[in-house]
Amino acid sequence: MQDSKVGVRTENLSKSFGSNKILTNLNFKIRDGEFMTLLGPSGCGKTTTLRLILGSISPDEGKIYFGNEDVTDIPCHRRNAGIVYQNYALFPHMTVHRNIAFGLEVRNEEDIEMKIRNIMEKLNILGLEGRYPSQLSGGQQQRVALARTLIVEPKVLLLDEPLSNVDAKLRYELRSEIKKLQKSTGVTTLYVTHDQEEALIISDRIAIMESGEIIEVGSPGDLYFNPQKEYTRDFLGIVEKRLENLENFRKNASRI
Amino acid sequence: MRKRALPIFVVLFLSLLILLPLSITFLLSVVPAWSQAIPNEFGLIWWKEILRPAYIKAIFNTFIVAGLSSIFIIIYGIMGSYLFSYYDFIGKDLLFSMILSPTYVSCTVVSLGLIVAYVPLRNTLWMMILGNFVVVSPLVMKYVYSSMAQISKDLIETSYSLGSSKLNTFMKIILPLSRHGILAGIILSIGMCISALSIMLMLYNANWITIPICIYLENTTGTLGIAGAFSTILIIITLITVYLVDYMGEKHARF
Repeated sequence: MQDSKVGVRTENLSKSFGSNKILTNLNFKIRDGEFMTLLGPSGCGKTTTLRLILGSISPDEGKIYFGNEDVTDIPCHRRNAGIVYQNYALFPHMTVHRNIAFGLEVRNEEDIEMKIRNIMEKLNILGLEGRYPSQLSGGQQQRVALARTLIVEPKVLLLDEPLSNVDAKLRYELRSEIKKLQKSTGVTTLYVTHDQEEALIISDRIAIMESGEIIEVGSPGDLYFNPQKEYTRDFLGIVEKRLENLENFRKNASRI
Repeated sequence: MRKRALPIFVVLFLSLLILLPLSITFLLSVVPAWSQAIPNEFGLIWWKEILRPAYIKAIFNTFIVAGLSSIFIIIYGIMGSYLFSYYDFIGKDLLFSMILSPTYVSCTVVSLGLIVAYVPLRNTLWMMILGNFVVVSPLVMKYVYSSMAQISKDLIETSYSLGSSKLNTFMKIILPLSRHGILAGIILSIGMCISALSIMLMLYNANWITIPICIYLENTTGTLGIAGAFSTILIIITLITVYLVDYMGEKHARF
């Protein structure tokens, strides 16, 4: 059961808030270095799963493993899981440089300046060091948030709908940048989204979630072309419907 | 133009109504004997009078009582706000309402309760500090809490995820981001503690007479000049405090 190739594993994870049961016996694995997406409608428990893995909340039952290490009782600040939120959560009172340096400073790391320069170069944000988050565009904020998270070399990277606040064009660009960055760093990544198209494009594997349970796990191709569950077929079928609608719209537009 | 004239006149009139008592307070301190509607003689007799050791001691006492009270109030306000903002426990809302309740009760009633509840502290400096603490800290906590509770939980979780401990996150993220509420709390606390009268009248003792008690006593004996001089000192202290706290807030405002 203890597989060294596993990046993250959850074992019978359950979580309730009061009488509201959010997750029930959740079991899934993310392979080491894999880009996995939790895909499901709003309120299905995706973000709760993410926060459990992050360590900001504790499960009622179950275990969480990073590789072979049981991290269930390890507090968030010692777990080394990095997160990028939908709103980027950049510290508004710190410059870009201080935001990126924050994680390295609290860990008393060496060569901070060199590391900051390298990551900023990688994310194409050199020159923004002295700016405050309020002086950055959405795309720049997104890159700074990624740089701040990746610079501390987390064991697992958690992305909570990070592209939902940017326009379509930028979303397309950032999507491929995130994927490229993930491949080059090899960090095990869990991406949370309700956007089927985004999940199909960006992921190595997708876990379909509904009402606090994993319905089906598979590669984007398998889930799209050969879904095993009715729910998966319906949920991912929306993409096809969208494409049909787009095609119809184009046809109608050309007639006019 | 006519339409604008009326609101301008009303605002000016109301401003005058507010500023008039403060101006007269100052005038009281520089008019040796106010016998006519418009004073015709000015002097510093009352200011010389308050240089007597008993009055100097009152000024000193005011700083000690207000300073110590404010230190405890601010520390409690920050710690309490942190607890109520970031921890969940059974009865949290009820406890918060109870802590704020002295705000809605008369200071005289609170003082009476303190005298009965804390007999060993009666007639001591600590009773006066406790009185200020009970009355002022709920208001300060309201300010600090409203500022702290607005900080996004995502920022706090991000800080933890980057390896920052709770203490480090508190010092580097929560405190700077709730700066405005804390500074407002400091101004409020110093202002209220320095000028507290109704609670101090019930709790003071002969060794710890403060400026507001002096003003009250001088007023009852009809020595309005000394009361005016002390009132002017209070106004100046309050203005300096507001200016200093504002200046510090602006100095550190970089975002």
